[in-house]
Amino acid sequence: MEHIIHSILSALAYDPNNPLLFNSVFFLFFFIVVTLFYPLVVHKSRIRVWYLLLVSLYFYYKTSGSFVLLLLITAAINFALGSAIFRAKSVSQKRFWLILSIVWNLGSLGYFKYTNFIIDTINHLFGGSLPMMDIFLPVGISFFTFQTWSYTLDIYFKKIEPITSFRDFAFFVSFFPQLVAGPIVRASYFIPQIHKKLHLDEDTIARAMILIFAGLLKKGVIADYLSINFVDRVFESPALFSGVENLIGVYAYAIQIYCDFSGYSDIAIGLAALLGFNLPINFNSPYKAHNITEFWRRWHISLSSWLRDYLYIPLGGNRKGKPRQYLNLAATMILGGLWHGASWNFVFWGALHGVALIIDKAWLTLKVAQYRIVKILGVIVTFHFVCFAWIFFRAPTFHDAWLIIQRITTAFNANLLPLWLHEYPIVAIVILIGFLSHWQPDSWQRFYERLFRQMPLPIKSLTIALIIWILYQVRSADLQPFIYFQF
Amino acid sequence: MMNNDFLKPALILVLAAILTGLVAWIIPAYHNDFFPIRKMRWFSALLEPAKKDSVYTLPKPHPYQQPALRPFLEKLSAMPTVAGKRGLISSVHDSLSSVASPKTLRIAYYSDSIIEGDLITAPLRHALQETYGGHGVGMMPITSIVSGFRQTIRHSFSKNWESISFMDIDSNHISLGITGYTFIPRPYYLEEKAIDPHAADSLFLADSLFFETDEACSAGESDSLTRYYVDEDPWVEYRAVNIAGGADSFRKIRLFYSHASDSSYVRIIHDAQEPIVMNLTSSDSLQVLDISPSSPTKRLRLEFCKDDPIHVYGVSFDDSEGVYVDNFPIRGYSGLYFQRIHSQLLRDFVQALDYDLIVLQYGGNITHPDNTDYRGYTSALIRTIKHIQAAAGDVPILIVSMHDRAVKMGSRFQSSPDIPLLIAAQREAAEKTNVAFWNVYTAMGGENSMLDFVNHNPPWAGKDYTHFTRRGAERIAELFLEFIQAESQAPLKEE
Repeated sequence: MEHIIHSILSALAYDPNNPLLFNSVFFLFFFIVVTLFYPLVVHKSRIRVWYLLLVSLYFYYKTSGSFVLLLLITAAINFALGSAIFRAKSVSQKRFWLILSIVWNLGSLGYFKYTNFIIDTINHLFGGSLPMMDIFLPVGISFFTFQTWSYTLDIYFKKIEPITSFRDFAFFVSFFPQLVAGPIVRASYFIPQIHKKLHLDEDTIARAMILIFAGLLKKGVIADYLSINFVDRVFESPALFSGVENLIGVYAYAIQIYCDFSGYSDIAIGLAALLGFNLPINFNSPYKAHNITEFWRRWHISLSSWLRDYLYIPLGGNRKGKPRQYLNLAATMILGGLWHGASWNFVFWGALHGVALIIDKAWLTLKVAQYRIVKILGVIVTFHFVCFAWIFFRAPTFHDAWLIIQRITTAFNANLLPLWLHEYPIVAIVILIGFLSHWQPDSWQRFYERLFRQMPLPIKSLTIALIIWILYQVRSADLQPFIYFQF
Repeated sequence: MMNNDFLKPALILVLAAILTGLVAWIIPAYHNDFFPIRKMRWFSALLEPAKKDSVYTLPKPHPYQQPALRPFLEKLSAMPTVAGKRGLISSVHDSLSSVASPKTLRIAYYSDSIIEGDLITAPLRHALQETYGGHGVGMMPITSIVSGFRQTIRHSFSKNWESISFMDIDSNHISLGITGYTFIPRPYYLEEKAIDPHAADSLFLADSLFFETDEACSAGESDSLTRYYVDEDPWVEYRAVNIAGGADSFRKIRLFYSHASDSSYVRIIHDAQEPIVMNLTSSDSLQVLDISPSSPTKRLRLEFCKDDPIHVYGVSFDDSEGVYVDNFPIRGYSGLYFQRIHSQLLRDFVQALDYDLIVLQYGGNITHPDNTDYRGYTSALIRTIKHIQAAAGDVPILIVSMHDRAVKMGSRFQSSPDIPLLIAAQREAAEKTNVAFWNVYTAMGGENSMLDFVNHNPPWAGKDYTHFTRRGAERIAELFLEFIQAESQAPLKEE
């Protein structure tokens, strides 16, 4: 008994080697405890906020240890700057506080994420040998920084008024479902919900459960399995694989990153829904897009709309003529690329998408682009362009990325395909399941929801139990941190 | 006031957690090759942290300098250094012999896929050549499945070479060359085939149980593979690459072959010069043809006659001074049955290349988490070492132990529990044959150090928890040199 209590107590503390992830057993029990006590507080909005705030801070502590203090500090600073901007008498004063907020947000993000990248670039340019710094990247910093930043920006652009209670603001910043990997929730979207009377109906429960457990399957069965069993190996040493394997590796990565990232977002949206909160949709079957413009309306929607509203439009958007619009698009995408990680690969990836968006804008003005057959071809072309860009996104270096392209174009060895299928039957099946489920009609999703909705409660629980059993069977190794964590 | 709506998710999830225990309890484990179903532990796993420690203990480290390594250490300490460089080892502890300042020092580094692409050997060569000079990547095979992965030399070749290796257990009568391969010009090539990991296992079995008898080895699949005939003469081409571990040009070049006939020839093209045709010596024993250019070149192309099935062993790129490290990877290979390099040929090679150390780093294709008995492996390894000793005379041999490798135990990766046992077997074989031994597993950090290698930033090992990345291989080379330094300073055992 003592042993059991001891192991439970030690599990409650932060373990740097086992940061808390949604697909851990610990999280399941954490969430059960949260939902068990939630009905006691859900209709007393002030206690409810305290409850969820404390639970969220504990969640972040389990994920990142003492960085929970950084989270609170950045929340406090943005809270103060928000009200300073609001209260400022003159435009120049407002601008001063806004610049301070940009300096803080960009500075803290820059320090943790880009210091070594900048040192490395300086060393390369000038042949110096400045030492790298040992900086640990706090989980989710890219997400919560953009979230707090949207708050000061919205106040500056007079879209919202500041929150009066720091408790409410800290809750908005730290709400655990979306805290570490999105969706990036705007202040204007979330704040009105904080003190709203919350409801939960059967439809919402069914939708949320489908989102959570389909998300876990996406993450656990497709993304993790493909990553560790095939994709990582190809991208680590492309020269060891033939062109056809490299190509499969690229396709597999396309479905892996989608399942990984969208699975996580789906889980976040589902968890929030079970607590009565509404988070915006973040992925909408992106590989169904007919063109790159549409792809960015379906992929990581909360980020692309953030960049649109706070970068592209303030830069002038499309209001200052075509050349300026193209420049704005390119700048937005390059910075968007850099958001994903500190390396020139991400910059190049962003630039590729920027150029594609520019070509797309020109192309879409042509009549031929509206033909049905051209639209269908467009899905194929768009998907392949996105895959091509993923090569630069995933490859550790430029050299590796070119090597992959070189292997595909010069050493294809199509005759190896049957052998590959023979050696990797499960990988092939998982890739196939991944793409088939991605390209299934949207109406099927609603069918699953209706089906789940109509099940008696024990059958619902049994379905979930079976999914947990499947996840256990497929789970590979220690949990791999979610790809977007370090972004 | 309780609200029932918000209680529903909790009820569904609590019941699901209970039913998971029931499902786990009901569904049995099901062993199959396609997708083995494991017995799920739910409640018991929640309460007790599942950590299965390896039940085996590691052999104790050597407290004294290993006598087997001494000739190598003495020669290394006597090697003249490049101006301005300090030797890697200043002197060997208690050294009495005074070796006359030697000109060259050469290491043959054998392993499996973990050194493919010149991993470990390239940083080792780089460090040694920086200190002691030397110009060239050493011995190169004619064809290689990983030529594109190797960065220290650009290597390309035609398809119509037959390549015989340790893995082709049905061509025992043809001796392999020093690289572990023999290459034969052919007017055809075979359809490509992936190396079957199970074939590697059966080789170990074949070796340890029946290697005395020739018919034990069943015919391989090669007979059933389709032949594609070509008109082209087989060729091989090397280009110098000026990066760490490589060399900017070719100076001394030697071609190693045997089984030529009176009409055999090789066409040699240095850079873009006119081809030179040289006749080969008709003999069944090892022949060395010096094909060095008159001044350093950057490219070498050799062409052979497609209808002349001579045995080509490889090309050595080196110079008259300095240190050379030959990279000999054999994918999927257990490291046993070196008898496939026949004694006489091995002897001739060791003489021609003048080796000072032969490194054998194996175990990756032997280890299995369920293995509990390595006695068969020990005796097979002893036979291999004795075979090399018989041919190589007093050239020191160094057995490098199995490195840490993690496998999935339950849903977590941890060190394969058999590794200490495997290392003990390797150490025992080394002791029984009086050769040197280095425990790279301990040097890496011991149990579960592979997890740290995989999680290192940048990664030092791949996600297969077995193979090192280029950076990780650099780390192993560093550890190797640290081991050599420590040995040179270790006290001698008093008899």
